[in-house]
Amino acid sequence: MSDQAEKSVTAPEKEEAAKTEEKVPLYTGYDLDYFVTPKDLIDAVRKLDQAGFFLEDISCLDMKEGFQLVYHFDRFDQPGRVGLRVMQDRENHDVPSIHHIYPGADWHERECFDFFGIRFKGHPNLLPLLLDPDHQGPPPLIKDESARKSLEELYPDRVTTPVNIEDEQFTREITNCSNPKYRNPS
Amino acid sequence: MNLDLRLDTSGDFYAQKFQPTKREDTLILNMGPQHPSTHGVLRIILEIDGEYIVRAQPVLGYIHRMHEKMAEVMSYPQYLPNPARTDYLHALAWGWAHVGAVERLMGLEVPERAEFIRVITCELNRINSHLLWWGAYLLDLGAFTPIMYAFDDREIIMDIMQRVTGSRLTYCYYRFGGVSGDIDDRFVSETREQCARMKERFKMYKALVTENFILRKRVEEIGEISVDTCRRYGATGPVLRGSGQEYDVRRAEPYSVYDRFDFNIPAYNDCDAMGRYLVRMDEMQESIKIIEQALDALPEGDFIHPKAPKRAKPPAGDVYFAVEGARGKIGMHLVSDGGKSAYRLKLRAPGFSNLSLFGEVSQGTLISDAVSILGSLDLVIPEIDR
Repeated sequence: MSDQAEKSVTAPEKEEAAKTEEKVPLYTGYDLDYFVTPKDLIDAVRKLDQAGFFLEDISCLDMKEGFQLVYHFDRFDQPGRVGLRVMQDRENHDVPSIHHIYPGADWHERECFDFFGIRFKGHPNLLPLLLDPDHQGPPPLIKDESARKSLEELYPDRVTTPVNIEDEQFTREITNCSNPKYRNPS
Repeated sequence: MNLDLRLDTSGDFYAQKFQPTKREDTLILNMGPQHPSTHGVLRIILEIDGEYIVRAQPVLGYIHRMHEKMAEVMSYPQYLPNPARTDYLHALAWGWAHVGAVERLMGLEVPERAEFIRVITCELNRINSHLLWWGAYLLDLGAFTPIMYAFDDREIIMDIMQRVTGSRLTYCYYRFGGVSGDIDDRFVSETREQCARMKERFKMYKALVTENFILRKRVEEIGEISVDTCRRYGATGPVLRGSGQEYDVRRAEPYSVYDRFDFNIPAYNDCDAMGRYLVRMDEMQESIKIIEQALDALPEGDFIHPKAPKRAKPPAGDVYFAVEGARGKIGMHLVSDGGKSAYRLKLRAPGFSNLSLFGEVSQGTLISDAVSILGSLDLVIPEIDR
């Protein structure tokens, strides 16, 4: 199939999706999604811990602005996914480790260290987890400079300024993060 | 001369980094990566005091294949067979997480019949996975016969699945917008027959194994994990439900048509290996309930969306899609820049989080009990290492 034919097939799909988006925004899997500064991360994670969340995983992206770490949290009794995004400079890593709040983060952080070379501040045991300790060369998921995309390209029409986590609104939102619209589609 | 043999510089990188504690009467022992009870290539460095574990540290990566990098290099359809290679026991759930993430990003609709076929095949695969765990776990604990019975049942299910999917273990059956082929009347009748047969088999399993005195001695009050420990480590699936927390992605975050079926989420408050054992035994029966309801209500229609793209090219965006696998919550974090392959695909392996609590839980247990705990976590190492 040529590229043109492919476009004609997917175009009506996109229009359909755009139409439904106006009524109910398409569920992206995140009930709440914030950008936070590395400085605020520990406090934000502590608030999530107090609200009974568990850590699903820590994902990382290589982009033009540096690295983006995405922490996924969810809750057992009142499900709802919260994403915390932290931007990291390519050279100076100042993101703190959260292993003392969530011990499960230990391995996730080591995985990010493996694949992206991110040095989490205060991590007790930052050794290669999945890669060979003798691995030479750059971390495998680092992109070529030409392949990196910027925040605007990957997240069009999104506010990427960090939120103020001291705000009451943040605490209130994460406490009531379950969106019934997404949780009970029927 | 005071020579401490435990500070020997021999051993590889991880053995050297695993510094012994100040105690003088302990021994460092490597369990695996070729130990039979680790089912593959898991290695655990243990510091032991006689038969008791003082400290344990799993070493991963022996079967690491960098599936996440492959996702960035291959186009979306090329990557379809990959998720099945991570968790070869519940391959379809991993495939579902992948197609589900792409469908969510593209806003692609899946015909109702395809959703039902997905539910039926995924649940059959779940039974298969639990059956293998059941046989292998009992093998670890010294019972040889059950695995023969388990493989007898598995064989029939694999034959049924082979006819529609084309493979027996690492299925690549789901496509963006549906499934690769329709099911026929023979599949339906054979599945019904197998469901009826399994119900009788579960009674036999209960009488033969579950109520067995020797098994109960090996699993009851062994490896107690509290809900809070699960929460701090992010453990999900039967490990969490064996601790009494009723959390199942099929109910908590309903995807596909799971909200239309009537099924229970088994949970046991014992928190021990027996609790996790019973959860899986009950889950197989719940899966049969779901399959029978789905077969009764199987709608007519397309098995794949007529407008489903052959070469998927989702718009730029960021989605997370989670499904309930046999081992817990499988998650895919997909970031697209609008290109032919993913900008980034992060796989959340449930076994990864479930195993990470082993270091804490195994402290102070006997080595033989650690084997029981490891087995009760239902580890699939290729899934953990990805």
